[in-house]
Amino acid sequence: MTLTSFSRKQFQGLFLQSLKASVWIPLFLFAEKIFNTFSHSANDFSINEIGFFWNWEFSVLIPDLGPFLTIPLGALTALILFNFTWSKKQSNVIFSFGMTRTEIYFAKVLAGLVPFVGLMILAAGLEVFACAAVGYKITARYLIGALFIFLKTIMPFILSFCISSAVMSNAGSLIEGSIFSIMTAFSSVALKTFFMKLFDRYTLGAGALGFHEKTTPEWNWSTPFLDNSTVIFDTYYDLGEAAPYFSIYSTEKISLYDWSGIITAIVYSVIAIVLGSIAFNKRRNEITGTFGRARGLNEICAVIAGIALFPFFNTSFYYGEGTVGEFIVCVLLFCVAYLVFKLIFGHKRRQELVKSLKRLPFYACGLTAAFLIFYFGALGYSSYIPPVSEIELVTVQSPMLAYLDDPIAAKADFGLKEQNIRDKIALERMEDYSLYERLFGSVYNGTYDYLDEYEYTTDYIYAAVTAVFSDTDEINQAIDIHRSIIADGHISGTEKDACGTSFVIKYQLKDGTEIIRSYFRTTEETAKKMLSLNNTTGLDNNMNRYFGSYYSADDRNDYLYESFSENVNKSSNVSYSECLLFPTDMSRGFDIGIISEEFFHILMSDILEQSADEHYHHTAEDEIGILAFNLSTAHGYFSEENLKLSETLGAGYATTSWNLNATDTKAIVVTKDMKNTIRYLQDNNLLQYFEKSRTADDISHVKLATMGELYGKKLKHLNIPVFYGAYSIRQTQAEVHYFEKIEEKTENKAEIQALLDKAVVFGYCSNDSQIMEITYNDGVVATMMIPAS
Amino acid sequence: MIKVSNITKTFDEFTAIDNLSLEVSNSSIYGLVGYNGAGKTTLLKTIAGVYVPDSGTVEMDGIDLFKHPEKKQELFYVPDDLYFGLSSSMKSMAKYYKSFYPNFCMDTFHKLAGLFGLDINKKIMGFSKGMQRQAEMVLGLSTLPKAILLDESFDGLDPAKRNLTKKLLLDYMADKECSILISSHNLHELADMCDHIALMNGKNIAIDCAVDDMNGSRCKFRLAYTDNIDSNIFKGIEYKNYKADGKIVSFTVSKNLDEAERIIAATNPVLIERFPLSLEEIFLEEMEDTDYDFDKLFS
Repeated sequence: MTLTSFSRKQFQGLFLQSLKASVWIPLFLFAEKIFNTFSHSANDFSINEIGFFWNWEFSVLIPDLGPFLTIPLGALTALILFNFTWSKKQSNVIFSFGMTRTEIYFAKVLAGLVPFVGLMILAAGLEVFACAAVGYKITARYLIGALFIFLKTIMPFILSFCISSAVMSNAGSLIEGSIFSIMTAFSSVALKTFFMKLFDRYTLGAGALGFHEKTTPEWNWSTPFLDNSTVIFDTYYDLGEAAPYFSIYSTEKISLYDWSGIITAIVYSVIAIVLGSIAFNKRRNEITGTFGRARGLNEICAVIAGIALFPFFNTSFYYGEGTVGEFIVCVLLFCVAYLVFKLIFGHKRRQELVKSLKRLPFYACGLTAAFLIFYFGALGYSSYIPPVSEIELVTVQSPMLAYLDDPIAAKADFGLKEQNIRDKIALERMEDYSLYERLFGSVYNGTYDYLDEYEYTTDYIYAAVTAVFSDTDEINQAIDIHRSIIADGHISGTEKDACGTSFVIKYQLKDGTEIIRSYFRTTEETAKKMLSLNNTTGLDNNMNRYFGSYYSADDRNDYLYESFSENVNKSSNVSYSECLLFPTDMSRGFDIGIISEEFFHILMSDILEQSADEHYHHTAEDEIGILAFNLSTAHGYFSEENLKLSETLGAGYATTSWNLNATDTKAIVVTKDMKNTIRYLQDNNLLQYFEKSRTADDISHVKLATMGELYGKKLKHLNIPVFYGAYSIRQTQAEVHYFEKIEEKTENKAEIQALLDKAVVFGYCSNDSQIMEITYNDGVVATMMIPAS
Repeated sequence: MIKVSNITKTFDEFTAIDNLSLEVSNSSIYGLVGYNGAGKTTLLKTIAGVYVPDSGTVEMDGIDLFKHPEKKQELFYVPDDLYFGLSSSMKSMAKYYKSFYPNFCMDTFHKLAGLFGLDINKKIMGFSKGMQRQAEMVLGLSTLPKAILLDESFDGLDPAKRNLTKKLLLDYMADKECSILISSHNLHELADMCDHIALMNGKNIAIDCAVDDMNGSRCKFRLAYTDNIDSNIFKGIEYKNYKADGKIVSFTVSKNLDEAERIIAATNPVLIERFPLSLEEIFLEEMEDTDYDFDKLFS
């Protein structure tokens, strides 16, 4: 026998020796699968109404923890097989064999993989057999589904094993190998989060998209341990009583994106093995048994530690656009994390720290380079606008389109038709908008979006008010605004002409793809341009959808429930029940009960006719009164009791007070141009409820301030330059803290009256407009706005 | 034959072996002597492939061991730190090694185990240190290697087993014409069995020659004169360890012994005595760099 031919025997010998040491792990997993197969197939014989393939709900032996079991077992297998690398005694023997290091490495790797995969295939085969035995038809569809679940089950083990093998075989000790394996395993998550944060926070146009549920499927390249498929394995409830647990028999297809986690895991496993083998060939055995001497691994993990910490702090406590200052702090934090890691894990710490300090400038430059790429447009992302010829539809969402106002969260006692209104003042609500933004990571147009409450994130393209343009001229109008925003570039919140309005634009192309860009801030000049979109049919059409059809009380309950699970646009399409009338001094409100269909359509027609100027730039004289609409309940659940109560009493009801800003109430300021509405109110003797009852004589003093004077640095968190007036009783004045810093006040009645004559309760609030806080003699506080001339 | 050419091995900034070369012929037992930390184990591990050198080559029968590691199937390395599986017996270790050494002979294994009186079914971890070394020696020789590397392999053996091991190695070497490289700090041990000795002094080999040649390569002169003399009269002789005790002078010479004797004769001593140096004396002479003043050490 030649030496070369005997090498095969050596390889086989090492493989078998190694397999003996670790085979108990795959045997354990195999036993668990077999036991479960027999358990639930026995169950199925008697019930015979459910299908299965490794259904975890039927695990009997131990709860099938899925990847939470297989991932650590994969790592343990690698630990057992490669523990010789940490032992000088074992290294002396194994490395003196007449085998190449590559042969040694792959003999160990195969010893870990072959028995596991082989036994799992056997277990899968038995599962299929059991399924057939209880009477299910083994179709091609079933087999594909079974293959999918099979791979989803085994890949976490394989990936964990491959990464751990590559790391542990090149580490100096068990502790080092274990810690570095975990860090390497999560490196893809760290990298993705790192780039995602850079993209989201520093790329103009990325906005807060990263926080939102993607409407288009995404390739799973960062979390291959966990399958993010949205496929088919619906719950029992969704499929009806007699449906199988796993809708392997359903007609839904497993898409390539569903397979992406598995494919990524396979690719990463191969990469890990190849890189591990290369490193193993170069391994310096003098690191054996010594913590901290695996220089290459140490360096890689130190960088991972820094990168993992970077996005954690880069999220900071704000959403929205990041600042250069924040980035610099994050780079410093990266350096600290990197050095601390070296201090803890480095061999000959002092020397290692000195070397590490010399490397830091390179890493800082790398991070800065990445930052600059994103900051200056992400290689064309920020400036890209598709050609008009390729565009099918353009959807725009912005608070500047917020036609319906929400000045007042009405709190009313049951049984009262006239009610005192208590509310937070508009400015606080403005901060609440920002608070809402923080909580839910999305931008609001000032109206309530039910979906956010329950799904936590939402694609806010589908928020209550959007404009959809299909007409070429209107598309060009939207594009013109988009170009203007791009030209504005990055805007600091403290810049004089900064306008805290968000803007989201979605291009739906003819080939089916979508391009979305979102912005947190524009200049005032651009914001004013956005107002022109209010004159478009695109918005008017959506207003129709927003108000939608008039639904009867009977329809509403079912409709509201439906709206959660179907086309979210429909959630805008909700009718209103109680209608409250307020004068513009907001001194009282009158509940006229559920509005009639006739009034509904009259109001709609006036709203659609109204121009942007009439809506946003009217004067105090133009304002007639306020119509506010309460939805039936706070959260879209329309209980029969509430409906009954409101119909009987015609009264309001308490809205939930946790809704700090956008509440159930939608309100409209009735202006002089809304002639049909005014006529209706007149004919029905309702105009009387718009009569003001307060004058300057009822006012103790007023204070005036611009948004900048009130908000200071917080101005950058405002997302709407639209003012909503409010009215509040004294005890809530504790919340009115913005005006506390304004010392100057006006007490002269004539001056106060002059201001009242110019004040509006709603309108476009430029940086030069003044907010007026009115303190009444009885302690009640209200706010109005003096528009800039 | 094992040929080591210009091997350099460093550990971070520390150079353990610097451009070292040596050759172990067939049918030869090559002794490697050096103080603790001289680099003996590093050299043996490098030859065995446990360490990868920074530069240099190791050839066995003309084949580069780093490029063709399969050749190591004919080489067995007995390290200082022995490894056996936790519950392994000699029998199970024999099966283990059989997978990796094509020439492993179970007959030889049984015979050698019997010779050493070792129970092949008993757990090796239950053996004494000396017995474990014997077990490793048995397993190593059972692979019928063409080259053996032994690192402090006599450590822990009783005199009887030491002699037995020496005899086995000598017989094996003669029978199989194998190359044996053995390291030790025990000169006496090596002097008995090695035909070639190398002294490692730090990063390289200080002396490398046949044992027979070494004995004759240095000598000590002891001279007697009628009067006290000055060391200048020995100008032209490279001597060491010069001592003068009145009219009696002694020193060692390691080069040009005959020329040195001629120069000495020319100084007309009353008495010339010439003694060969023992290996230990040669070793000490090479290893000592300074004269320690022990008087001041504890004052």
